[in-house]
Order: sequence, then C-alpha cells, then structure tokens
Amino acid sequence: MTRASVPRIDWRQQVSALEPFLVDRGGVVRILVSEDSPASTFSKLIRQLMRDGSWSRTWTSVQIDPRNANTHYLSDLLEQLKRSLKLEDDPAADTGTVTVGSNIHANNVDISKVEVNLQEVESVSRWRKRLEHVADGIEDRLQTQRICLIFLNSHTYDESTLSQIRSGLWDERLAAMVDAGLLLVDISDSARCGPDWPPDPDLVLELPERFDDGSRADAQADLADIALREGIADAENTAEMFAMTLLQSSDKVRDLYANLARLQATQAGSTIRSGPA
Amino acid sequence: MAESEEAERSLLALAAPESLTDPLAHDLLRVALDQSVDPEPFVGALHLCDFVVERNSEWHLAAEVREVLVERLIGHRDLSDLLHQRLLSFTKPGSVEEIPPELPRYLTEGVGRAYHATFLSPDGLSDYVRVAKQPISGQQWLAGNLASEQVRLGVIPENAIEVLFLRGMILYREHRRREAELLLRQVAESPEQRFEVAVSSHLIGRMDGRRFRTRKRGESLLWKSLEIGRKIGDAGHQAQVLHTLGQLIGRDPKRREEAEGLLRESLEREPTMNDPLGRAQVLHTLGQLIGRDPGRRDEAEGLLRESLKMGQKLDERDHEARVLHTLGQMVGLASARRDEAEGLLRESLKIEETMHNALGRAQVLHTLGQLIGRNAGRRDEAEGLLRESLEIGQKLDNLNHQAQVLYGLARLKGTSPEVAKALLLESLDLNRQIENKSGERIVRKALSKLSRNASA
Repeated sequence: MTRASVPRIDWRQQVSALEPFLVDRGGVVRILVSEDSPASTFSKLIRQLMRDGSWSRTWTSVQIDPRNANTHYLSDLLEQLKRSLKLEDDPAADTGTVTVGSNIHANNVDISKVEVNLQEVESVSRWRKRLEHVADGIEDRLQTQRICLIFLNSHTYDESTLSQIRSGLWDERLAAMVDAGLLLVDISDSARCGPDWPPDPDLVLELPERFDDGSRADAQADLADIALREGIADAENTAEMFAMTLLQSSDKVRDLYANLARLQATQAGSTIRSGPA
Repeated sequence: MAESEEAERSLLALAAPESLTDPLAHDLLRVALDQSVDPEPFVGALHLCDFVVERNSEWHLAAEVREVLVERLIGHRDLSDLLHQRLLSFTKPGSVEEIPPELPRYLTEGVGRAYHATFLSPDGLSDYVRVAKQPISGQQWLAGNLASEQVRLGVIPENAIEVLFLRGMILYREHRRREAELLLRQVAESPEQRFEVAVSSHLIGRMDGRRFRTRKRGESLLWKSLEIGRKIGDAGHQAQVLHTLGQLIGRDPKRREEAEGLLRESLEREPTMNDPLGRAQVLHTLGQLIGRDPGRRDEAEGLLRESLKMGQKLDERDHEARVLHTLGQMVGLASARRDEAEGLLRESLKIEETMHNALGRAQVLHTLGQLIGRNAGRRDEAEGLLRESLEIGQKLDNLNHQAQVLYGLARLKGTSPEVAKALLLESLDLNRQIENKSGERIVRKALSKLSRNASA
C-alpha cells in the first residue's frame, strides 16, 4: 500500500519546539487550535515524524479521539492501548460480562435509619484491574520504546470522561512515566476546554489557521521544493510560480493541503479529479 | 462516465461507511466506479486532506464533510443500495468471497450490520436492539449516533422503539438519567410485549420507585416489566425485576414478607442464569431486608456472609466492600459487637480506597463516624470521619450524601443544640432540593425534637 506522506509545509517553529520531545524528553505538549486549524493534518505529521525519523528508541503513537468509537470511553481507550501496544490479555481483568441486567442490579445499603443512597457501579474492581494491567504494560514497554498518546480534539470529550482519564489513568499512573519518556500531545481548542484536561503542559504551541507573512515565505519555499520533487514542475521558476499560485488560491492552511491532494491525485493519473464541493 | 460524475461517486462511496481502512476504501471505489480503476493514488492523496482524520489503523471523514455526502448519497438510490449491500456483506462472514484484509471495527462488532441493514430494509432495526443489549462501549455510543443520523435522514421513523431504546440505554449508562428517562419512558409506555419495553419498564419503574410521589407508578411498571419478562421467557430479566421489586416493596414495613418472597423467587431464577454476581447481590438485599427484623439478625448475618464469600470467590472487590459495609452496620447494632463492626467497616473502607471509589469511601466513613460516635470518648474522632465524608460528598456534588452526613453530624453526641439546628436546617434544604421526602421527614422530626428539648 502506497500512502502519500504528508509533506511539511512550513511549521518550522512548531517542529523545532517539538524536537527535544521527539529526541528523548517525555512530558505534556499542548497544541492550541481553533475551529479551522489543520489539526488532523498536524497530528498526521507528528506521527509521521515519529514513524520515519531515526530515534534511539522506536516510537509507538496512539491517537485518542472522542469521535472514534474505539477511544470514546475510557474502557475503549484502554482496549485501544492494549491493541496498539500489543499487550497480552489479562485473564483476571477480562473475565465476566456485564449484561443489561447486571448493571441495573441495585446495591442499596439502607439498613440504618439514615438511607445511604443507591449505587449503580459496574464492576469497579474489574475495571480497576484492566486499568492497572494496561498501565503496567505501558511502563514495561517504555523500557525499550517511546510511547506517545495524541489526544485529538479532546475538547469535544464529555467532561466526565476527561475527568476519569485524568484522575484514573493520568494522575494515578501515567504522569509518573514521563521521566521514562512517555509523551502526551494534546491538540485541542483552548476556548472550549474544561478544567480537568489537559494536564499542566511542558510546552504550548499554536497551530494557526492561516500563514502569516513570515511563515508564508517559508511555505512558498517548501511548496516549490515539493513541486520539483514530485515532478509537478520541471524548473525552479515554474516551481516557484506553482507555489505562489497554490498559496494565493488557498485561504487557509487546510485548503492548501486539500488543493495539493487534488493535484497529487491528478498527477498520479487517478480517474478522480476533483474534491468535495 | 463523465469525470465529474466519477468524482462524486468516489466521494459518496467513501462516505457510506462510518470509518474506513485503505483496503476497504479501495474495494468501495472499485464497486462504485469500475473494477479496472486503480484507486490507490486517489486514496493516498486523500490522506493529505485535513478532513481525512486518521485513527490508529482506521480513518474517517470529518463529520461536517461526511454529513453532506451522506445526505447526497440518499438521493442516489442505486449507488446507495449497492454500497450498503456490499458493506453489509462484510459484516456476515462467508457471504462474500473477497473481504478486504483489514476492516474497521464497527463492521465486525455488530454496529455496521445494524446501520447498513437498516438502509436496505426496516428489518435492520432489530440489529440495533442487539447492540443495545451489549455492555456500554464506544461501539454502542456509535450505534446511537448512526441511528440518530438515520432518523435525521428519514430512513428510520423518529418514534421507532428500537432507536428510542438504544439511545435511552446509552444515556442511562452514561449516568445522564434525566435525558434517558425521557426516551425510556416513551418505550415503557408502549403496549407491545417485547424485550425493549420490559427493560425500559424496569428502569423507569426503578426511577419512579425511588421518588415518594411516584412510588406506586414505579411499582406498577415493575409488575408490567415482570409480566413481559415471563411472556417472552427471559429468566434473567425476571430475576432482576424480582430483585428490584423486592427492594422497593421491602421499604414498606407492612410488606416485608411479600418482599422476601420476591427476593427468594429471584434467587430461584438466578442459578439458571449463570450470574453468580447477581445471586450474590440478591443475597445481600435479602440479608438487608431480614436484618431489619431484630429477631432474625442471625439469619440475616448468615445471608450476608454467604454473599460476601461469593463476592470474594468472584474477586468482586466492590461487592465485597458493600457487603462488609452492610455487615458492619448490622453487627454494630449490638453494642457488645461494636469493635467487630468497626473492623468490618475499616475493611470495607480499605477496599473502597484501593478501588478509588470516592462515593463508596464517603458512605463507609459516614457509617463509621456514626458507629464511633456512639462512644462519647471518641466523639472528636467520629466528627473527623463525618467531616471527611461530607467533604467527599461536596467534591462529588452529591447532595443526597451531604444531606445524610449533615444529619449524622447533627445527631452526634455532644453537638450543641445551636450547631445541631444549623446542620439540620442545611440538611433539610438539601433534601428539599433533591425532593427527598423521606429524608425531609427524618430531618423535620429531629428538628422538632430539638426545639421540644430546648423549650423543656
């Protein structure tokens, strides 16, 4: 399968700030985005840098996104971590089923004169064991590899889920693994974030929707290089013309990537020649 | 085929599934266009777009893009049927010769089957009920979203029981009880004799049963739920409803015998269900009920110890903690056994702490504070425990718990009448806020006693 790699168009400042974390530093990196920032593309780029770079320990990155059913609830997230890190099943944590009925069993404790309210707790112990099993697995893997958890659009998570992730997983276990090289990258809209997430960052970056004057010049240079490398242009002056035209016809960074995708598809001889209207 | 038509069909093809893998995208493009087309360059280039959101081995189109495309796809009936038929076939192993080597999980875990089958026929709705029966998971949440999308598109009628039930169950399990109640009540009111109505009647019956003014309505819904359970031959459901009915009816001191009969009937059904935790829970409730009768405390203790043993065997630590709590409460009623009761409660507390169960911890601290408070020499220690419990209740924003602990603090030996009055008034206010009539009554009684003592 040949998947086009995501070309880096500018983002020099962001990638340079990330460099120490890519090399050997663990911690929390917060990337602030607004509604039209190219958040998903930047996340692809980070994972690509981790995958393709040459690092002393290989990277495994896991993307966590509330829109993804596989990471929607904390229990799904634990399952995804288990899959991505290829952790073995824990028989003690995975036995038993919770049916419609068993989580509507009531557990009231009201023998004394004062009623203690009803609790509807799924098997907390089973859930706790699963969490510990996954956390132990991450700790073990960190001895030989780097692990990055990328939270994409965490501001769209339900607050109670974030609170569970924060207190149950991060504060309890993962925060202590930062020294061993665990990296958490949170890409979210700061204006829509709750109090529980993300944890205190070691680095904060912004991902603007549009290029400013400085980054536009760098982007133009990068685009000209791409045009020459991909055979879109056969000479420097046509490559520069191509870059300038593409930048002028793309209002936002994400439009630029969409226009580039359209060109690449056409260039590759695909029968599909236009993107979504 | 014209170029623009090809382009549109390609994008529509990729919008038909909820999520994709590259092999699935290639397969769908070949189906939508022409078998000879090489879809790889297009799919490869598509990954450059920000609206293509990568997951781990899967990817999806951003919601705002997919929403537009899905609506357009509805207008292309032939293409829509072709794609949903193809996607549905991947959910049924053995139904097609060539299955893409990697499929997104939603296609293999039941949700895809419900979603794609429903586009082709209303019979697909029953698959959503199958998903609703599963434990809460992201896949179930997704099913709720996809069913809502199909309601929006006019594929499913808005009042379809299957969808109301699915969405209601998800909200219920997300502890969004008020929103869940709105949907599940509609299902519970249906005259149909089916599983969804039985479960909804059980849940709404329980909710109603907790409120003083709707207790009777709650009980009648529970009887309805039991009746449907019997008609559809669901022994597990019957066992659970009998348990809930036993709990509800057991609150009425005049109907304890009836409640005991229901709980014992529930126990009779549990063995057929292979649900040892369910059995342990019913034994717990039965122990609580029988323990209210001072003459049967030994029998109650035996049941609770049996329940505890089962929980330990199953390694259900949270169940253990709850039974130890009840045992501590009951054993502590005998003044000669207070030390033993304290030991049981401390054991329960230790488990709640290990489980990071804040509410459980707060509840045990409350009982422990009440127990220790009976010893005048340990009053300060008792107050410390109750204050710690109250603080957790405040952090959890649990008004009911706060109301109870404030009452406990007011009743603590050695609390001055002024302080006790202030605490009781605070408790009364909280009970009012949560409409806890029985809580209100208990607090009012304590306030009257306080003022009688003051005027005496």
